[in-house]
Amino acid sequence: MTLFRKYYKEANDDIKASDDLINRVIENAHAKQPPIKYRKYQKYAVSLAAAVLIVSAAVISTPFLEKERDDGVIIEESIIQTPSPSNELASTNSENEQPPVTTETPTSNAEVAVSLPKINDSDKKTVKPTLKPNTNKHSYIDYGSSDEIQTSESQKLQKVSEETPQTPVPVENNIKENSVVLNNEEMMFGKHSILATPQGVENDEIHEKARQPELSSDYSPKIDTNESSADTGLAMFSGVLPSDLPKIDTDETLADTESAKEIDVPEDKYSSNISTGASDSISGSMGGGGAECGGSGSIAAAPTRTSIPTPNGYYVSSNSSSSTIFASDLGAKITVSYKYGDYSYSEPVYSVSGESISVYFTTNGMEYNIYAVGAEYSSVEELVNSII
Amino acid sequence: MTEERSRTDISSDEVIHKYFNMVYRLALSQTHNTTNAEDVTQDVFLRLIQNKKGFETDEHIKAWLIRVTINCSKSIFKTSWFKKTVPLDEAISFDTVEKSDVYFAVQDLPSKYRTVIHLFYYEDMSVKEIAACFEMKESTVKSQLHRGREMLRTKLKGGYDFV
Repeated sequence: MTLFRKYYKEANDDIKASDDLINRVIENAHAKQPPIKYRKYQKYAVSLAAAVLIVSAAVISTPFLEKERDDGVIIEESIIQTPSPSNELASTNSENEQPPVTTETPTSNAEVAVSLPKINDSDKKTVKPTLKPNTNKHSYIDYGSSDEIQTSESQKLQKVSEETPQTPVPVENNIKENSVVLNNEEMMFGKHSILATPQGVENDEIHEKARQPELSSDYSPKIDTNESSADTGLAMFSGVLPSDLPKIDTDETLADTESAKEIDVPEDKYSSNISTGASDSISGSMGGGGAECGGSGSIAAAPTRTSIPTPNGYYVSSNSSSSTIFASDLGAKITVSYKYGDYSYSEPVYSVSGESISVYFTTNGMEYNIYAVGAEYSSVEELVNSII
Repeated sequence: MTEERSRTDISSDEVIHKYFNMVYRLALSQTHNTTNAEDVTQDVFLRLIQNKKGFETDEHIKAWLIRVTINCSKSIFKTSWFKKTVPLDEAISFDTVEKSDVYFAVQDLPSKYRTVIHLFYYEDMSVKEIAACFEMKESTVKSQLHRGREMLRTKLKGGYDFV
């Protein structure tokens, strides 16, 4: 019997690969090898590429995600809404070129040149700046005979007050052609009070009224930037009326003027004066100060923040034009941020989170954001009620 | 070229030279085609060089090469290229009739029987080694051997002793 194994082996032994094939296989096998140096990183190439892709996607998408805020916290805006009266004047007085408006916060004892419109015969009755020092709380500019005041002007003021509560207008503006420079070294004009110029008012009419501080014969305004800075835009000012300023024939006080809380200025009130009745506005009620502000001037139509009394057990630790911070000896802190807003009223919305309490509400044309840390709920509620 | 790479290349070349024919013959028995067998052989040794695992003994290398050769032979049949092409008829000639009859009789066997017969009778591997190489039971290997032999006896008309 022949062995199967023998013949099968001999048959397979006859099958041999050529040396050329062997060399070719060896060459191809080595040629396809990556360099030893990076060979060990081959297996990480895919994962590395995926990681790079993910990181780049995250970097690209991060800016888009940061824009979205869903924490519900109202971001305090430190922007003071002060519409430029020069723009308004430009819109109302196309004939006259409007110089650029500078809205610098008046500092104490700053020298301000007040340019008054030229008092023409026809306008005599309308332009009556009162520069006499006045100890009255409510000072105003008497525009002479009330009969001369046109109702349209009051309407314009009303409109302006609604639209632009704070219209800081440098005194030098608007009175380009007809100007009587008031060399009052100490006269400062608040941002709001005088400077709100009604739209549509001609340059030689109400402009001066709008910009003039509310001064009566007894007016002795006093600049109190620190205390008044808490109030957005409204600032106290003080100054000595120049002697060359024409006297106001009629001397109507602001006794009848409404509180500055009023946004709409009635025509009759405007007819007699420009006062805004900022009796308890601004002043320095922030933290209890402001008593020095004897003559608070503000534009009639400009809304003013109600005074924020200091809660019991707290003192004013910081005061700015858009916020006030109350602190207590126990370490509690209440931050009151405010800004001008619409004139709607919204109920206070309380939000308690741990030791922090936040409240948001609008009243009297102001938006209030109160954030308290470590403070009692009653203190915050008391503060809110005092504001409302 | 670093020393590490040179040493690796030398050892790889030695292994290639040592087991090249074994791999080639096994691939040829699986693919029935010299061209495919060459491709399989090249693929096997490429994998050998790229393999980072260390081999303990020569038997380990041999077993590894056999398994990879079988797997590569099977995978080549699955390629679309192979399915769409007809291999050239390459006649393999032997100097004696017995060699030719025996060789082609084994080539006609089913793949699983052919593999076991080839390893058992040509590579002189035991049933245990074959079972370990393919991770099969020894009984399975034995049954496959038995069935293969029966088929060969039928083909070769009982003129050979399967010892």
